[in-house]
Amino acid sequence: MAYLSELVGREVRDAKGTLIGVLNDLLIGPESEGETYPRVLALAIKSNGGAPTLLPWEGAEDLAGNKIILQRPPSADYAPKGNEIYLVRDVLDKQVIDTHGFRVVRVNDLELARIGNDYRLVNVDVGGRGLLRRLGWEDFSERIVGLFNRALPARSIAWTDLGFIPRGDLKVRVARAKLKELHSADIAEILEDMRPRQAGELIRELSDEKAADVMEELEPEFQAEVLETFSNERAADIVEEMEPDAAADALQEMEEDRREQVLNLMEPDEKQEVKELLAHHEDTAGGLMTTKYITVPPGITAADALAHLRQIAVATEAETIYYVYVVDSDEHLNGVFSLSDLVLASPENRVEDFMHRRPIRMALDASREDVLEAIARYNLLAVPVVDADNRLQGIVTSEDALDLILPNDLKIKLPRLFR
Amino acid sequence: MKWLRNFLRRRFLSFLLIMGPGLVTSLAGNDAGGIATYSSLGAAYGYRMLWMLIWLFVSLGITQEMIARMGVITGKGLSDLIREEFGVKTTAFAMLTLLVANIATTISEFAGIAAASELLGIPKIVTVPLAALFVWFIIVRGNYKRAEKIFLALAFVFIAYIFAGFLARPKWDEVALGLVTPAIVPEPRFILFFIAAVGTTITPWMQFYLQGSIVDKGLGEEELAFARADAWVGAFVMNLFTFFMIVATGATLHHAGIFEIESAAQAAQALVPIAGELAGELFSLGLLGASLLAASILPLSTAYAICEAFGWERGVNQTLQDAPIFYGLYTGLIVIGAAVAFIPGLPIIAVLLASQTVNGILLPVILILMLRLANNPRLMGKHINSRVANFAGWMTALVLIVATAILLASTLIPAR
Repeated sequence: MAYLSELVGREVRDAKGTLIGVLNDLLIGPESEGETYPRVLALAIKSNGGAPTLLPWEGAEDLAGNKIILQRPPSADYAPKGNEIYLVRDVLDKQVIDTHGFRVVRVNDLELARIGNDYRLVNVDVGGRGLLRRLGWEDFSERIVGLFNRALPARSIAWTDLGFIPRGDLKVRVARAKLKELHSADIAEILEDMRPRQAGELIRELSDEKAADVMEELEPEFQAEVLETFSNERAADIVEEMEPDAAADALQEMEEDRREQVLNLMEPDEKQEVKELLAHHEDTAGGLMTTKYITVPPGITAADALAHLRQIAVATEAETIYYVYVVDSDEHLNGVFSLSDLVLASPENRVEDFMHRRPIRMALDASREDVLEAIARYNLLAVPVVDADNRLQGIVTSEDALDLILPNDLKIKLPRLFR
Repeated sequence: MKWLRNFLRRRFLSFLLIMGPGLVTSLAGNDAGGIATYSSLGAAYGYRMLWMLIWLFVSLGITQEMIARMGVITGKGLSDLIREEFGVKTTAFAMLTLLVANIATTISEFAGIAAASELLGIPKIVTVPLAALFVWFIIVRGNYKRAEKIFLALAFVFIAYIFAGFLARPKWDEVALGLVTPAIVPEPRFILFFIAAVGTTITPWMQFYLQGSIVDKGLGEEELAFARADAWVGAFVMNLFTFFMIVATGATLHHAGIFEIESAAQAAQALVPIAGELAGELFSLGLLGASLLAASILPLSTAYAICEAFGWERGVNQTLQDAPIFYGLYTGLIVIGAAVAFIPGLPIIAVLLASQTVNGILLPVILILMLRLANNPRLMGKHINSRVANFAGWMTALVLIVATAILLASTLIPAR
């Protein structure tokens, strides 16, 4: 086992003992080459100033010594393909993603292991021990904490659990592929440790649907900041895939010009829905509601209603199908019935026979406290929101209401900087 | 009149409250230490040191522009960049520097709170611990955004300096002369004031905070012009305040033969031309707002910058168990700041001046790292520093280093 921090700066000599230079960096192949633990391909060696020369790795004495002795005289310089990863330049000290612990950590050191005649990168040191080693205080601190019968806090993650934060020139594909397999809530947790631009670059690789799912897990302010790093077209594509209420919350936090530009690029239907939601203050029933709910006209039978439900539930992407609202042709709310009401009713019964005629409903400008209270008091899964003429405008689901009372959302409105 | 009300409510207020990061940082920069430094400067030398403001304006504008540009182009925080480019050892040194400077500044903020409360007749034994608890909770458990608005509004009271500057009827010809004639007084006190003035105008912590807020605004390269304008407007507004602060103190205290400020009550006299007998109250409110604003940002931004550099868990969304170092640093800074300000009979103005001098002495460390980052083409592409920015940046660092050396020499070698 060898640490990168201890290798860099060592003398490199050939088999005859002639000094070639000082080790400056190590190169590994791009991850696309499919090796689990990438092999060291070449050494970057610096001799009296100037750009470092690259020598291919053709086997060397054990790296554990205090100098590196090459077994064979280097036949020729290593010809870089342009996609190699330079460990010092590209990995050391950088922020990386711990795809196992779902967070962003910083690389304090890298561990290389000898496997056959090769050295391979196995672990990434992200703990205090690596930091102390870099400062040259490892032995000293070890002795100090040893006096108290403790060990230094060591923490490392396997190279295979590491994900790169995309940076323009560095193309690392495997880590990204792995990221795509993570649950959107886990990706969101990782993104929360990042700056908006880094987060944006990571999401950029995902499909619109997945990106939208991830976005919905973030706080609206951060969603807006991330969206603003995208082109208007891409932002519009992602916003279209989000639930309209979440999309409206995110757009609400965006700068006015960008919001208009993004809205204008959206499909007319989605745009209309989001625009209506945007018109309401975010802390009122109108601002909290979603427009994805299921309605049936009055007068139809339970059997027809069930068939209708089967037919449209998927197409409307309704947030809940447990409540079905009975509205007339002018959208007036006549009543509501639950899925169990529907299933238990005789197929030939009309919906008027089993619907609740006076459902609990909220005005558009009802405060969010009122909405929360109604949902909690009457044990509702969703509450309808109507305008002054009793026309159904949307519903607030208990799920969305729950988000409101979770600490994260009621929490301090701190600038992003500190979260 | 409805449109006017709407305009005032929506546009103007939102402009004031969501102002660019540069402008907010500049306002927060005119904190207790800044007021003490500039009041002392105005009392000691009248209008003769106004020339420094022109130089400071250029220096501040160029550093803030540099920070804004780095934030926009790299999308990363300053401590992030320092760590990635310079490695662990340099980072440890820079973070130690930042920590020392920020401990000094946090002490000054709580000293400002102590001074303001005593001026209002409330003993600091009551207010300082209360303020410390308040600041801690407002960040960790409270509604920070609302608090920030209140602090900013309070700090805006200092706009009174502008009116006081006019109402005190300064001799404008002398003001103009002071603005264009670089005067240097060969005495240790002058060098101290000089370093403190730079240190309070261009503070190390502000660089980290400003770059962080710009990055979090998610500005892209196409918005670089906006970020730059914001930086320069911020620098201008800050120096405008400072200018009138010096003019007001020069026209009142210096004119009345008071050359050395020893208490906050004396410093408040500069506001007599506008506030009359209420000068003390007005001054305390402004001081309280500015100090609370900085006291709530500073410990947090310090803890954040250090944890970012070393990759430790950070942010108030983390639990105490997950981010012990973050909370430790944050709480520690508040406790130290409050504890020092709590000491009975503390010479407040002297403490404030000393804290700003520490900042001025330590600034070159951060400034030189910034200059090296801003000249790295791998990070900045075609947006590397212009020659003018490099010249002004290096000059500022160099002048501070020389001034520090002179200050050291003058304290070590006893005056004959």
